Amino acid sequence: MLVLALKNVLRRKGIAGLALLGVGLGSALIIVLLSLSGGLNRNLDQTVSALAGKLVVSPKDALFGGIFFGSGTPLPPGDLATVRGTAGVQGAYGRVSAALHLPDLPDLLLPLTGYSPEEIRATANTPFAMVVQGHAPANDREIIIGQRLFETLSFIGDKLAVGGTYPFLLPDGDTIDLRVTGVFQTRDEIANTCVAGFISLARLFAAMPSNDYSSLSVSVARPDLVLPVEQAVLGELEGNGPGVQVVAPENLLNPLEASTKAVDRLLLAIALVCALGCTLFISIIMSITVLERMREFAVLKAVGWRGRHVTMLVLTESLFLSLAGTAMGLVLGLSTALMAGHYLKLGTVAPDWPQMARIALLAILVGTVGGLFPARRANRAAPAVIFRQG
Amino acid sequence: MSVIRVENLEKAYGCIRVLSGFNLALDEGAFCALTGPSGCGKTTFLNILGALDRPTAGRVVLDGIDLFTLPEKALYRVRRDKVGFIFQLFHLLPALRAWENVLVPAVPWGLKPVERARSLLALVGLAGKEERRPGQLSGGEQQRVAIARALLLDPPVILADEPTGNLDRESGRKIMELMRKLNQELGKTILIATHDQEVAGGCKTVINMGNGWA
Repeated sequence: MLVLALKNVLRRKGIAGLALLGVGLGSALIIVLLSLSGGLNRNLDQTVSALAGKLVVSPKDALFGGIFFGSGTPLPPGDLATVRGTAGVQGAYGRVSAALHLPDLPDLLLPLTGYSPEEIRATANTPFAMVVQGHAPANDREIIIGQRLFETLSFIGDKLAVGGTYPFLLPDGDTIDLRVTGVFQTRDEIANTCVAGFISLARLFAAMPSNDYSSLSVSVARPDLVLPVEQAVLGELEGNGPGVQVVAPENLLNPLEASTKAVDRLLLAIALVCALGCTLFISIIMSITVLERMREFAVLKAVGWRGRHVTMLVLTESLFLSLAGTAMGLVLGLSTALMAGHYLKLGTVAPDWPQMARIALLAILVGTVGGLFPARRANRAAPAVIFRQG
Repeated sequence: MSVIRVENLEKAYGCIRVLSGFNLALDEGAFCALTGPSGCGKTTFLNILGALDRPTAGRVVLDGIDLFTLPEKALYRVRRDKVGFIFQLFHLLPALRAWENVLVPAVPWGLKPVERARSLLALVGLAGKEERRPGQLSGGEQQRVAIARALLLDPPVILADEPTGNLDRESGRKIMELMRKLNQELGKTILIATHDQEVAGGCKTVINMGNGWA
């Protein structure tokens, strides 16, 4: 039966090709959509987990929780000592944030985060320890660029090449040459959109006094202590100089999580519509071939085939077309998804094998459901009626 | 002993009566031609005998089975085990080779009597042409493949509807020689519907159907 079904499919190359194309393109689209969705989720999960158990203390008037651009009233050095003495705090380090401007691209703002030598030495969590291309800065005239920012700059053509030296504008209007020594990639996608360097360099661009900070990066001993430590730090720093805010960065991502879930549902809905389209396509293609072959089915019944055998034959042919189309779609979709990730620097495309297995099962469902109506039609082939028609 | 017994067979399509009061008894090993003008009911009768159609009234007993006391779903057993059907237009599957076409009746039952298929092709004079597809065979050769297919599951009765109708005279003669051989050497009961007097003359018995009765 399988051999007969396969031979029947291969005999009608035009029809088979049409079915393969329809199902293949539909499957490819489903794979790209689901890969995109998977990539978005993976990046988000990774970032959330990288930020788990971390707090950022920043001035109350700082934008974005003080994570970008160093806005707000600087924090005095006493705040760092206070936070370090708070129960539940595992470690705390001061950072300075600033904005980098290139003289010939005044509209392009690159967020710079300056790390203290103490933090660089003590932890393996700074970009200095996660360089994937080139090497970490050795002095305060060198910077490294986050992977996501580097890809975006490459994509838009404004490339800051590793090894290149570029002038950047200081607040007083002068320029200073900085050498790009490498590219880093951390598990925190937010950090990956920034530039990193020494804290003394960031202070230059932020025009900040030598002992002040834009924000304090705090690690908590256990993730369940985040809220108590947040409350304790707020209490300790209340009334000490400028007001402060304590932000758990992972909470900043909550709205993003909600948006990502909505995008997930939309992509899934589109994928299901694609699957429905493929089912209809298979059904139409198989119906055309069944109508052309009614005499053939009548002969099969005349030589002793039961109606359900004829049904199985048509369903098997439908399944072959669906599986072959999906295999083609898998190759096309996977290569499209991987190429999109590489050439378009999307970085958020993530096909995985469990997903491919689910798509293969979907293909079986599409083939079976799509073939049901034509198979029923073929089952009804009445030899006496058909032969009488001549 | 009668292998085919038909009693008061009637078949009507709406108000058009095709068969009326048809009676027939054929013994095992009969080699019979069914003749009559076009539209007299030859094909209709063969279809009923082969369990491809149901009569309006009457009784058909084939190899001891009262056909139309069986439910519709069970008639496939008659078509599979008791009858080998040969058609005017051969009706081979174009995607399959000759030996694969012969095997078609066995496919849904998980059987693959390849050697039997090849030996049947040799019996019908197609040794060496087993791998050819229908498009690569002449009309006469295609009909031989159809005959081999009809013999695969060793039915006692062969029904042939105008088996030479699509062939030239010489090919038609060869097919009739083959039919005689099957009747004499294998003991098959053969009933051939034909309007060709030469074909009818080659059979042991001729039944003349006149407007639905014999």
